[in-house]
Amino acid sequence: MLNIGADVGRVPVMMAHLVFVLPYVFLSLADPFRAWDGRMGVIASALGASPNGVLWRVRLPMLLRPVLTALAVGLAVSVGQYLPTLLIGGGRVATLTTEAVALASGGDRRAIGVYGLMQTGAALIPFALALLIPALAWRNRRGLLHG
Amino acid sequence: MDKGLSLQDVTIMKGSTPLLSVSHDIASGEVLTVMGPSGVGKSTLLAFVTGTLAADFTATGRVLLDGHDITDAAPHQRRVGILFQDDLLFPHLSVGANLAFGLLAGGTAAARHDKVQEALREVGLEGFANRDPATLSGGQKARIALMRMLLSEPCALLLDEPFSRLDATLRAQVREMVFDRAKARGLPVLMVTHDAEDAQAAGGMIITLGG
Repeated sequence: MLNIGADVGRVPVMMAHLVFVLPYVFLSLADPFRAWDGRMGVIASALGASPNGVLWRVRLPMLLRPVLTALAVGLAVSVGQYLPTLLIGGGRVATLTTEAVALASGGDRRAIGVYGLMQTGAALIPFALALLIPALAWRNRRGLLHG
Repeated sequence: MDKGLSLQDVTIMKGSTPLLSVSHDIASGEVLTVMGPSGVGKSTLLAFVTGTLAADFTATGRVLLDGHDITDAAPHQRRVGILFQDDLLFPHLSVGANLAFGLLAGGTAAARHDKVQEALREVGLEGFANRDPATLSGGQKARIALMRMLLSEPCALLLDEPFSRLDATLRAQVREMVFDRAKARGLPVLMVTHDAEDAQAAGGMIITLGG
């Protein structure tokens, strides 16, 4: 990282987070992505959809729920990163997590409480959306609600 | 060569074991039925024609559609419609959007809308455009799947045991509808099935593969 000049700032921190986030996202999305019925793709191509069209118009919409869940898992993992943020960011990139840990050793209980709740929210809200968005988007699509 | 689907010395192999060989011309409006027990590679033959052959199979021979060699064409440029034994309607789209999916690009929104309405009327399902496909009965789904495929204006029709999930009365009805539409549009039909009754009803030549 230092060799390519990426020594400080947000971008190196984001890249460091991705190292930890991507495996989790991959693991949570791989199974649903592969379990998708390939004949849907055959039908869609036979109807004239290009490979990109099949992905964006058929496969990803059908996998909306697992995609959002994988996204939420990724965000939750990112929220949990303390040491990588501190080390790669050189202590100069502040995230909710680094601040919360720093505050935890202090005596300001109210600030600790606020940061704790914000951290909870940062992990919880994506999961809530991953439940809510498919339920709203597919409220009239029985084939996708329980699948 | 004139219109029709032509399979020229098509041989499908799994590894180095040959599964089946077919060489046949299907003229417009005619049906070729390939029969055989499951596992002899019937569906693989259709996958070869649609261009979606799985990686562990290899195939030789050429596929000509209306005189064009489509053997190496991309699946979405082949103009080959296919129906499976499941209706496989896209569950995230309404019935109308399912039908519109295969419409050729171009035309105004109104013209496309009209085409979808006309297709619904043709199969007696007016007013179903906004319905969720999961709420349709088996026969209704089969009709929508057929119309969706026909709206994409294919030049040939492939059937992969298309009637085996339907009950007896519905089966004859849907079968008749599919073959009538194919004949009316002059489409060459390639059907694979293990059901003798379907093969008889198709009325075309039958190739039986050993098990």
